[in-house]
Amino acid sequence: MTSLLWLLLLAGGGALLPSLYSQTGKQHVLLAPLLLALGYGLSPAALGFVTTGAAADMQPALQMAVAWLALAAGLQVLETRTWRRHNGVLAKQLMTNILAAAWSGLGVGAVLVIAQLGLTTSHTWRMPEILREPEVNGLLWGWGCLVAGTQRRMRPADQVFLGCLGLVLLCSFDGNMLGWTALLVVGCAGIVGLLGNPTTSTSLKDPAWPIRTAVLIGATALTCGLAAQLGLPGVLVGFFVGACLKRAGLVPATQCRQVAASVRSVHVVTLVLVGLSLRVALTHILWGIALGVVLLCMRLVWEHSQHRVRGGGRRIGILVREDNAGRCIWLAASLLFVTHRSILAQALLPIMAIAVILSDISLWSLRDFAPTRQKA
Amino acid sequence: MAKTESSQSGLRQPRPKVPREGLLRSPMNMAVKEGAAPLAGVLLLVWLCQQAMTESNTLGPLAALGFLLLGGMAAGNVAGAAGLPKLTGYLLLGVLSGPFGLSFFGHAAAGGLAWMNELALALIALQAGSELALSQLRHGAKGLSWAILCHTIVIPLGMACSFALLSPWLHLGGQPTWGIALALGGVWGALSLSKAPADTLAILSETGAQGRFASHVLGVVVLIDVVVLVVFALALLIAKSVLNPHVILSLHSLGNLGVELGSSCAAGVSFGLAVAAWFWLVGDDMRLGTLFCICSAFAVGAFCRYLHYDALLVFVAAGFIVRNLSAQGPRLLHAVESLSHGVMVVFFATAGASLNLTALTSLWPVALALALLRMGANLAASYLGHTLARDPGDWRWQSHTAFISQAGVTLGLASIVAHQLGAAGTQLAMLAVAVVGINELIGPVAFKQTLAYRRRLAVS
Repeated sequence: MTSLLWLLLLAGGGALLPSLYSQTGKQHVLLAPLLLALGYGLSPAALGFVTTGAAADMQPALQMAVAWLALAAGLQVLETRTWRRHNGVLAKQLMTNILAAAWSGLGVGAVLVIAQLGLTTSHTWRMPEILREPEVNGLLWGWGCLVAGTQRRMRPADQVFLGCLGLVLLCSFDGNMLGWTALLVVGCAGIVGLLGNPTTSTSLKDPAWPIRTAVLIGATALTCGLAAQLGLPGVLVGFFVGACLKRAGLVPATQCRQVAASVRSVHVVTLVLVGLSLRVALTHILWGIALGVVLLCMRLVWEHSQHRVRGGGRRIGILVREDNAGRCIWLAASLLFVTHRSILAQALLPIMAIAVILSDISLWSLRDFAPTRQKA
Repeated sequence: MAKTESSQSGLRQPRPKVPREGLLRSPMNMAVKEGAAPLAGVLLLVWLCQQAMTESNTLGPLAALGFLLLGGMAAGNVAGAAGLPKLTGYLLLGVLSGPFGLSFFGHAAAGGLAWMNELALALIALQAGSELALSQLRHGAKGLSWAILCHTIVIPLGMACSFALLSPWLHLGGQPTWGIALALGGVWGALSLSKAPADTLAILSETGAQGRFASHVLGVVVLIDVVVLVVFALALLIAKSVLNPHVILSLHSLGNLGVELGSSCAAGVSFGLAVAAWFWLVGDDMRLGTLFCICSAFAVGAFCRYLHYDALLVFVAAGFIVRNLSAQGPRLLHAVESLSHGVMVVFFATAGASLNLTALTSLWPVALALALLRMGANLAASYLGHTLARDPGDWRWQSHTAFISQAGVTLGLASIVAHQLGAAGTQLAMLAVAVVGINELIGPVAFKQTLAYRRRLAVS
C-alpha cells in the first residue's frame, strides 16, 4: 500500500492538483479541506485504505515535505543589496507585522491555554513552562509564517520579523538550542556551498542542475532529520538554512525559482499526509471550531483596524485574499513535525485542521460578497 | 612600445588576467573543495549531533537519507579524484557508516530507505533498456549470443565443481556427500552467474563510454540477469530434491517461471508503449516526464509484486520498446538521467550499508578464494565467447571486468536460498554476502580501469 500511496501523492502533488490549485493565480479555497479529507478518508482512523504501518512509514515524507516548504520560504528572502534599498519603510512594516502577530497570537494563546486546561488531566502548568513546550514554540513560529512566510517574495520587514521571532523563541528555550540550531544552519550551508558549486549559472539545461537539486534535497533531509532527533523545531532550522543560503548567495536565483515552483506540489503532498495523521474526536472538533472562530475574528479585527474598511463583505473579501488555508496548514504541519510525542500536540493537530476547514468553508461561503482586488 | 609609453606617463599597467577559474579547478583543489572538505563537514556535523542526542544516537531514516546523499556525493568526488569510480566512494561510505561499520545509522533507518531502492532499480532498468539500441544489438548479435551461452555454461559448471571441491572448508553442516555438495554447488554456480546491471550502467554513465564494447557488455549483463532466473530456479529445484528426499523433482515450477517471464515481457511491452505515448503527449516538458518516471516506478513495482512479475524485466523491456519502436527514447533517457543522480548515490550507499562485514571478516579466506575463482570463470567464459564469435582480440582479456560486480540480484537470490535450504542454505547465503562484498569493491574499479585503458588506446 505504501507504494500506491507514494504514487497517489506524487501524481496528485506533481501534476494533477496544481492545475486545480490555482484559479486566476490564487489558491482554490476548497482544496485544502478536500485534500485533508482525502488523507483522512484513506487513513486507518477512517476507511482504512492505508494501514497503520504504511501511515507510519510516511512520517519521514511529511517531515521532509514540511522542511522543504520551510527551505523554500527561507530561499525567498531578499538578497542583501535589495534589502538595503528598503531601509526607509522597514521600521514601519516591521512594527505593523509585530503588532499583527502579537494581536493574533494573543487570541490563539488564550485558546491554547484554555485548551490545555481542558485537555490535560493535571492543571499544574505554569506560564514559563507552557512557553517552553515545543508545540507552543511551533505554533508561534507557524503563526509567524502565517503572517509572512508563504508570500511570493518576502518583504524585508517580514524577514526581520521572522528572524527576530525565531531568535526570541530559541532564546526562550536555552543556550543549547540556539547553539545547535546555529551549528546545523552554518554546517549545512557550508556543505551546500561546497558541494553545490554555486559559481556556475543554473538552468534546467545545465548538467549540474540535477546535482545541485540533489544537494539541496540532501541538506534539507539532513538538517530536518537531525533537528527532529535533537528536539529542535525543524521548520525554524529549515527556514534559517534557506535564508542563510540565499543571503550568502550560495543558491542561484534560477534554482530558488525552481524550488519556489515546487512549493505547490509539496503543499498538496503535505496536506494529504497531515490528513492521514488525523485522529479526530468530538472534543477536538469543538476546540477546532473555537479556534477557527478566534482566528477569523482576530484577522477581521486587525484588517479592519488597519484598512478602515466598512461593511462585512469587504472585510471578508480581504480575508479571502489572504490565502489563509495554506498558511494554517503549514502551521498544523509544523506542529505535527515538532511535536508528535506529547498528548497536547496530538490534540492540537486536529484542532488546527478543523480550524482550517472551518475557516476555509466559511470564507468560501462568503466569497460571493468579496469585492474585487483593491489597489494597494 | 605601448608599455614604454604608459610607464613614461605614470599610468599603472593593467595586470594580465590570470584564468582564476582554471587555477581554482585544479584536480587537487577540486578534490579538497568538492570532496574531502564537504565529507569532513558532514561527518563532523553528524558526529557532533550524535553526541547531543539523548534517546538514541543513531540517525533516523530522514537524517540518514540526507547524510547518505550529501556524504555519498562528497565521497564519490573523493573517489573520482583518486581515479576510482564514484560508485566505490558511495559504497565505501555506506559500508563504513552503516550498521556493520561505525553505526551512524541502524538497520531500521536503512530499511526506511527501501523505497529509494525500488525507485533506483526501476530507473536503472529503464535506462538499461533504453541504452540497448536494436541496430547495435543486431550488429553484435553473434558476439552477444556466444557470450551469453558461454557464461551460462562455463560459470555455473565451473563454480559448482569448485564449490564441491572446497566444501570440506565451507562449514556446510557435517560432512556433505558428493551429491549434496554438487547440488549446493549448482546453486552457488547460479548465484555466481548473476551480474550487477546497476554497477555496469553507473560506470558507463560516469565514464561516458559508448560504442560496440559498451553496448556488448551492457547487453550481456542485462540479458544474463534474465537467464540467471531460469538457471537459479532449476538449480534450487535440484538442490531441494537432493537435500530432502520427500521433494519430488518436477518441472512444473519451471513452467510457472516461464509463464512469469513471458508475462513480464508482455507487460513491459505494454508499459513501454504507454511510456512512449506519455512522452509524445507531454513533449519537452521534462517536469511531467520525470514525474511520470517516478510514479510509474512505484506503480509498476506494486503491480509486479501483486502479479509476481519480474520488475527488472518489465522495466528493461519498456525502455527497450521506447528506444527502438518510438522516437521518444532520448526524452526518456534525459528524464531518467536527470533523476538518477541523487537516487543512485543513496541506492549504492544503502547497498554498501547492507554488506555484512561480520560475515566477511569471519569467512574472508573462503570468500576470497571463491571470489577469485569466479573471476577466473568469468575470464574463461568471456575469452571463449569472444573467440567463438571472432570479436576483436582485445575484448577477450578485457570484457570480463564488467562482469565481476554483484549486488542486489545476488543478495535477493541468496535470501531465497537461506529461506528454502535450511542450515546449509543459511551458510551458503552468508558466504554469498561475503563474496558479494569483495566483488562489489573490486568490480567497479576493475571495469573503470579497463574503460580508461581502452580510451587511452583509442586516443593514442
